[in-house]
Amino acid sequence: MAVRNDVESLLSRLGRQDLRYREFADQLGDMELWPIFEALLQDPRIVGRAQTLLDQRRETQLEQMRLERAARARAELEAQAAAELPVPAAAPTPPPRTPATPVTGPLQSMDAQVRTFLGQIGSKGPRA
Amino acid sequence: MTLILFHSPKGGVGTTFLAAHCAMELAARGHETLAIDFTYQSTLKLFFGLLPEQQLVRAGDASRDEIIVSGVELFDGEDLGRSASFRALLAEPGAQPFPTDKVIVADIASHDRELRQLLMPHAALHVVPIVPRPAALAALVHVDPRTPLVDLSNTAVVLNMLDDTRTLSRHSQVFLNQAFGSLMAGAVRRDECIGEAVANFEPLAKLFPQAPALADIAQMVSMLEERCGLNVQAAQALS
Repeated sequence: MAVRNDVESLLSRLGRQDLRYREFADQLGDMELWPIFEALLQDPRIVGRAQTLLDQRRETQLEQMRLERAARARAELEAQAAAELPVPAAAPTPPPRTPATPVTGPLQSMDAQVRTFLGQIGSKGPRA
Repeated sequence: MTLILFHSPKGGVGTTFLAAHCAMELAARGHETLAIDFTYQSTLKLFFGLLPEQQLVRAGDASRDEIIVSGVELFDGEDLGRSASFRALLAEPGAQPFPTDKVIVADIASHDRELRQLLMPHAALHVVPIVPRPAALAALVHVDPRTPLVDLSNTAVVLNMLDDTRTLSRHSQVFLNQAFGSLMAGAVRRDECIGEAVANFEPLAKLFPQAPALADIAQMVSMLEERCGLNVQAAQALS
């Protein structure tokens, strides 16, 4: 084991071979409630939000009302679309088809990178 | 595949140090381990005793030989982590982006919350390093954007740089253990040896094998193994 020079000389002055770290453990009762701890314990992003039965009821009702509003809006839109539907015309002539150009550029190289990575991390069996 | 994410909502809390030493300890315990540095600083390698100029194998680049140090295969994942197709793969429902039976330790920069979010569905465990200082404690509210901390199931908080000669440090440890006991996966003492080993470009275990932080990391890794079910996997592999 490599020991730092200053530690080595201190240990030799103390007549010891090693250094034991002193523990300064506190009991729960000795701990003061620092305001930062209190803030964490009151933050809903840490402890969530305690819900009463009334809270749950409110949320359920709000959700139900939201769903009903969405359903009504959808029905109105569908009715409007049906009323404005034009008379079916003859199918338009499709545009002339040109052969697809191969994908090039960064996306292609990224895909290759991901594929190579998957090969790199694949199991190769136990190491020697 | 067992993916262990190391990401903290607060930077400068020793996330990379813990990720590197977790990977080394897992490898020493017989797990096939690889570590991916998803950060742009690329400092994970320093804890393995490599020089800053040493380039790791880029994840997704097969043109270079693998780099294995202290039993851990090392990758530079910065490009891969930013790749649109990799992110699309991570976001795909039912995707298996890590087709391997190895343990993967991923180091993610604190600002890269998006990558953390994308990797989370594939992770066995998210390790959240923090330090016993007010700003780091306050950042605990940002561990997950949607779920309160106490409701997170595959999350483990590690208190790093614990200095039990300091009152706030000791009290933070007691507070965290009492308030979030089931989330806590240990504490690692503040240890000057860590910086000195990196400054010498040597692994901590080689230069200071008796460093208190190493003993704490061993305890932490035992907790992580248990939380990830790695003990069970190892027992099944032996039988």
